[in-house]
Amino acid sequence: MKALPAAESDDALMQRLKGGDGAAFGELLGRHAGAVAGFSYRMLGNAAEADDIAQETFLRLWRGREKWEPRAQVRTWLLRVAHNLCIDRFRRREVVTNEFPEVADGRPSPAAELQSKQVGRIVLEALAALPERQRSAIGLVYYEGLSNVEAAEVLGVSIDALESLLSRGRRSLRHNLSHLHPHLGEE
Amino acid sequence: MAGNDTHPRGFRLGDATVNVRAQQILATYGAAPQRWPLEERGTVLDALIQDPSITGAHRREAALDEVLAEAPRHAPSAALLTRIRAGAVPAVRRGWRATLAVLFSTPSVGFLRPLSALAGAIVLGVIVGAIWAPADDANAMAAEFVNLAFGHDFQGEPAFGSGLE
Repeated sequence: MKALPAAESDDALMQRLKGGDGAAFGELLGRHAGAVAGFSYRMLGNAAEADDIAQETFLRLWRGREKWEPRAQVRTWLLRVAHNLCIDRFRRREVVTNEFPEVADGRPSPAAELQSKQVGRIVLEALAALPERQRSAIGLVYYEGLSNVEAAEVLGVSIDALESLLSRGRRSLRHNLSHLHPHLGEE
Repeated sequence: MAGNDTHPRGFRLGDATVNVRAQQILATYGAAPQRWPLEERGTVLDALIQDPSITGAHRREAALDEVLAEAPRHAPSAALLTRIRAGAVPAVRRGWRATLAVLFSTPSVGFLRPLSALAGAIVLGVIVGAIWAPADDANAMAAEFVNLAFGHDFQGEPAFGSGLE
């Protein structure tokens, strides 16, 4: 059985990209667009805006390719750019929660909430109700699987500060989502 | 770290501080060990086994992880990937413009730059002359051509019965 060729590392692709290699850009896009778009979606709660953020993020990767420093990890760099773009959007929107009504207000009946789609929507709304940096921290660590070191680097904070953001965010989520799971209200 | 009973921050397994830290990690990173800090993973797992009081916290965080997993996911569509690629890597850059860019940016063939300017000026002059030549001048040139070829007698349409039929 013929062995599959080993996947080229992100660093090797970035070296090719520095030379203007469009195929290397396509490969990096395929690898990381999901993380960037997914993270942006959970930050903004809007698929079209998340797509815009993904497009702008990768455009910046292309434009800045010649100045790329091998010290940075591609995924971490992309998520940092996406995070900053999301924060810019928040500033422009002013009141982000307009699109995400507070979970505590007017909760639907428990039976209806058990519908998977509605539960998903409620979770998204609970995430949106978090302060931006707590939402970013949970998005990076819980959903994108970044290590604490990587997530702290993306957010530009210490590990201790990251842990504080994560624990406060999860505490709020436990409180706001406690009606969805019997074990969530346990202390 | 498994088998090492010293906590990376200097605690010893069995200490209350280790249990406190284990609970902190659960409340911070959730119930899945792959999200815990690598250097503390073994210690937290050991604490979970040895101290049943932590299992309540573990169960609670596992419930939150389960609920959070219900959040809808957004995957980029193929159309988006195509749009991003087309926006970042313009098609023309891969074609004749890329070739020209290489030619004119290479020092060893830099002399092509003035030559290309001269050639461009000549082509532009010919095109402008052909388009903007006044109609009268064009007719005069045509008449001169006919005179040279056939003599002055051959002017305009010959009349019927003129002997030239």
